[in-house]
Amino acid sequence: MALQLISSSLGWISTKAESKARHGLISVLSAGPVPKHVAFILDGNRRYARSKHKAIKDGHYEGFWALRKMLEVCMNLGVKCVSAYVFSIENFKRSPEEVEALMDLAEEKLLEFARQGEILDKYGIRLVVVGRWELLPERVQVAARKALDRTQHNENRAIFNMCFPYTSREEIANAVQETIRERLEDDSLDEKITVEDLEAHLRTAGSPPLDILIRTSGVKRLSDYMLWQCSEDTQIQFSSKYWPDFGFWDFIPIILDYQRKVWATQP
Amino acid sequence: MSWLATVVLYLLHALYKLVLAVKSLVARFDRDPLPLVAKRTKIPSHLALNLIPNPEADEETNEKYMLNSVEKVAAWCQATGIRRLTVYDRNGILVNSSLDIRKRVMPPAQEEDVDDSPVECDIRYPLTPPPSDDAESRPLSPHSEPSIPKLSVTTIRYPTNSPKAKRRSGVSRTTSKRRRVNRNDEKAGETPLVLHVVSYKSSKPAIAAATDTLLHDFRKTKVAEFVSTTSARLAIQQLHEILEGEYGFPSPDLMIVHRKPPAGQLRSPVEVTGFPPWQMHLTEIHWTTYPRFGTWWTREASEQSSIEEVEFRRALDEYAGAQMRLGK
Repeated sequence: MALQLISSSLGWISTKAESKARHGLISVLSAGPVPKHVAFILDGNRRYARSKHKAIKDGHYEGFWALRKMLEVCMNLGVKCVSAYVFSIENFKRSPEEVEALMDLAEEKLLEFARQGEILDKYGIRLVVVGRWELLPERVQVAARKALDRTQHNENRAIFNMCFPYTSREEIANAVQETIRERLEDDSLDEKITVEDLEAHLRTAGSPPLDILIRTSGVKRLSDYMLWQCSEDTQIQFSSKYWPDFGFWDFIPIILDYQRKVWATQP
Repeated sequence: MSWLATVVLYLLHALYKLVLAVKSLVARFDRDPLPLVAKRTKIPSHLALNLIPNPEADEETNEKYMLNSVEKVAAWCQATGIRRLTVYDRNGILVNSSLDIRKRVMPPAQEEDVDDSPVECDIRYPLTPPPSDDAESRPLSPHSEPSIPKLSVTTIRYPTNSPKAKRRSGVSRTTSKRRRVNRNDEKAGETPLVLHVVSYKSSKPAIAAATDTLLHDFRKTKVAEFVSTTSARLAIQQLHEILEGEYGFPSPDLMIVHRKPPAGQLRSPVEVTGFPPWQMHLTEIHWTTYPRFGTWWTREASEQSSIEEVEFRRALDEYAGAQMRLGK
């Protein structure tokens, strides 16, 4: 019993110490340049689940918690905008059981945001669901609308782009369509279409330029995510960890790399 | 207390720099990649080389380095059976040197025909598009004579397959594509290579140009029809046909991002410096995470005159090990 007491005490001390260290490090990192917009490709939930002999559904649940924790880290650090590749349009090709489980998870978490919304309220985060809504089941669309309604009055201190269901090529094609439609409707607009015209019609048009894109699970490609946004002046970081394993300590070198870049380019 | 945080931050960065230096040193002892023509489980059919000039070198040095690199990589592609190579630099140094590239990449025995090879077309700027057909009942398809978009892609083919050089005659259309065809196509045993030379103009500005093209083609279509008949899938397909079609270039399987040394930094994450976004959607990205020891701490000009073969081989090895799930 004494051993148990010592063990749990040490565990408590260790947790407290780690929490203090995190807060301390965040204060230190915030003293330097902080990225305004960070995007995550949440890759590796299924491989994580398989490696732990868990159900795929559990991998996605743990992935959601990892996302929630990273969102909080980013907010504490002062990142203004976080984007996450939650579900690709291509993911509809997965088994119906897995897609259904993912839609269940999405509905559950969106309703939680709508009912409690504590992390969104705490940091004044405006939630944006980025993607082709019409592909989602009606129940998920309803949950998303409720969550958006709750956060639309937030102070807009920060933005959380949930890219779901999303592909970058669809986003670009949609921007092209919308730009053409605008020109067809209004003859007074300048005939020549510019890069800025297209940018204004992207689904992420309200977000700051992307500073860092992080992909987990060791894969080194963009898989149709934020191609337009990350093609210029964005550091692309590939982590070998599966997404549910990715956390605060993995994020630190990424922030340090960003700060080195900013200091190197300062006059 | 913010001064304390700043001091601790600088100490943290000093520690991080030390860690990176050690990792850079350790990276020297990485296992050598497989030889150039070794059998690999898969090789890319289309490779992109994204070259980043060194801001501390002068323009001439950067240009020379890039041209050497293109020449070397083209040769390695031909040796390994890679049939398509796209070379990119943001500022268009390579595009401006495309004549030079053509001479360097062409096999020596074919040089005698260089003067005879025709210049197919010069760069021209878009004219007013031709009158369209009756498009009221046609939801999306371009008219019989669609406009040609200004995609600024230079394509060079080594060698052609047909007995005679293909000649693009009577090109009265607007184009900004410069195409040169090598007339000598009788060499046997050489891997044909298609080489695309691109710059930032082929990137986001090309998508804007493609949008202009579609707008011209849809001018006569009523808005309601356009909105109701344009599905997302069809829009993606149309853009794909323009950007990756005859006047554009297709998506590479693998991209090597290479910065002219000295790197000036111990380690930096990759940046694609404006590479055409549409074509990057499934491209494996390779770059040297830890620059060669000695090239990051010395400010003197490196002896290296081009990208090294070991980096190319390492990229191919990494590509051979990559798994594609395509959303599934």
